[in-house]
Amino acid sequence: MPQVWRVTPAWRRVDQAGWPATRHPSAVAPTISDIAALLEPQIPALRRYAFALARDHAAADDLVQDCLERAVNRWYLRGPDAQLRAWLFTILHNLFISAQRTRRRRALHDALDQVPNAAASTAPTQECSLASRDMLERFGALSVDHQEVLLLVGVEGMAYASVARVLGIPVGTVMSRLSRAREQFRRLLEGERPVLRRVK
Amino acid sequence: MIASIPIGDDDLHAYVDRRLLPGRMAEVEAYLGSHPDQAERLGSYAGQGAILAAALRTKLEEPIPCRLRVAVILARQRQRRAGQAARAAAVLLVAFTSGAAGWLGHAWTGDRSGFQAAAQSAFAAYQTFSVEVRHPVEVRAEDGAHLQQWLSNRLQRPLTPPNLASLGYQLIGGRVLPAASGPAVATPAAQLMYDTGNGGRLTVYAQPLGVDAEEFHYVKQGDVRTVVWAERRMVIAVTGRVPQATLVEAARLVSNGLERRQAIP
Repeated sequence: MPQVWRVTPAWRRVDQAGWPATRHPSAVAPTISDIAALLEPQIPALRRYAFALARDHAAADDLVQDCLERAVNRWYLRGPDAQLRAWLFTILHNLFISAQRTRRRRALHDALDQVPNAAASTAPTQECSLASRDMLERFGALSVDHQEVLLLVGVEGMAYASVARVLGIPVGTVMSRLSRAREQFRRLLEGERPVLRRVK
Repeated sequence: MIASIPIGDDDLHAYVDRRLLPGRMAEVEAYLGSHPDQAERLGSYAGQGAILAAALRTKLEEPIPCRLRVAVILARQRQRRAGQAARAAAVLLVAFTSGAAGWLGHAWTGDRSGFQAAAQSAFAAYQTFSVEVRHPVEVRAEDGAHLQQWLSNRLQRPLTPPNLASLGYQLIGGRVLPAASGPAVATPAAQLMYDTGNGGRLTVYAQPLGVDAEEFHYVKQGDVRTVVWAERRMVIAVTGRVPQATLVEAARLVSNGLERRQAIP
């Protein structure tokens, strides 16, 4: 009988440092640079995606900032590194959709931000060629569902399964949505090709 | 001759995105060779991604603003949380000094014994699960609708996770727990876990109860504080290793959250 109590079940074993596996210091506190090393390489693509949807520099960066804040708050929920990008785009997608639902929420941006927003963030617009802006405006004529699937598949080069995860829909729905979106966009592009020529 | 699987629209799109297996790729190529109209359509699809990417190239290559740096985001969150704690303390001070009866007026009075068991369970559950790094919850907050429905079904009460974001706490998720022994033990209890993102955890414990008794009870065990009260046929306990002002503010938000849930059926 006493021997039974001496057995240490596998789940109670500790690592060399004497910590139970789940309490290891490295698991408790990732450093800022650990997080930055994984998160910051994703920022340009997140900004591109947000800008394509919002078509406003400041609003897009607000979205990305909210996304990153949420990501660092829930860092331990991110899952394997291979899925980090899809996880971030999922957060961004959810934020964009809920911001669309409650449009006025964007105004509540924190005043602590030191970066002058309007002047600094609209400056790069001038580098955006007329053709690019015209193209994005035309792209904006598509429904948000169609815009998202075209961006994730066509621009981000994401796998269909990842797109399904980001948008919270089955893969079959991704395929049919992609099919409709591409056809719609083709018509938009072809229907207005003369305008494109004139701009150039 | 082996009958081949017919070419589908999905094959054509997967061909555009180069996501077909080599064998299927050859079959689609053969099909497109004999259907130039489809080939032309696919050609325009294939160009769409490149057109969009070109229009967005400036954005991709633009230097990122410093407000998006991870270090800056973490620093701002710390700053904001400090500000919120100060504001919550100020609100509490006003509530006390102005002698406002309000919801605090009926706190700390009445019979405490009935809430001891619930407070103890909430404390035990907090101690057990708030230290978990990998598995703090059973169902994550990402499955929001599922979490809410599951807990509401198990508790047989509508239970919407309250929003504590204004205190800097984000919902991580929740779990079902055995109810503390007491007058109503037929249904289990629930624990919702919130996190600051840097290890600070707060839990909201809810256990069904037959009666309503809206006194607030306050328990301190070591450096862990719990506020318990009964509302909407549930005993609610908010537990955390936090200052009293934060805990009281969290209790207020939870109570208001339950209130709102009732207003919108």
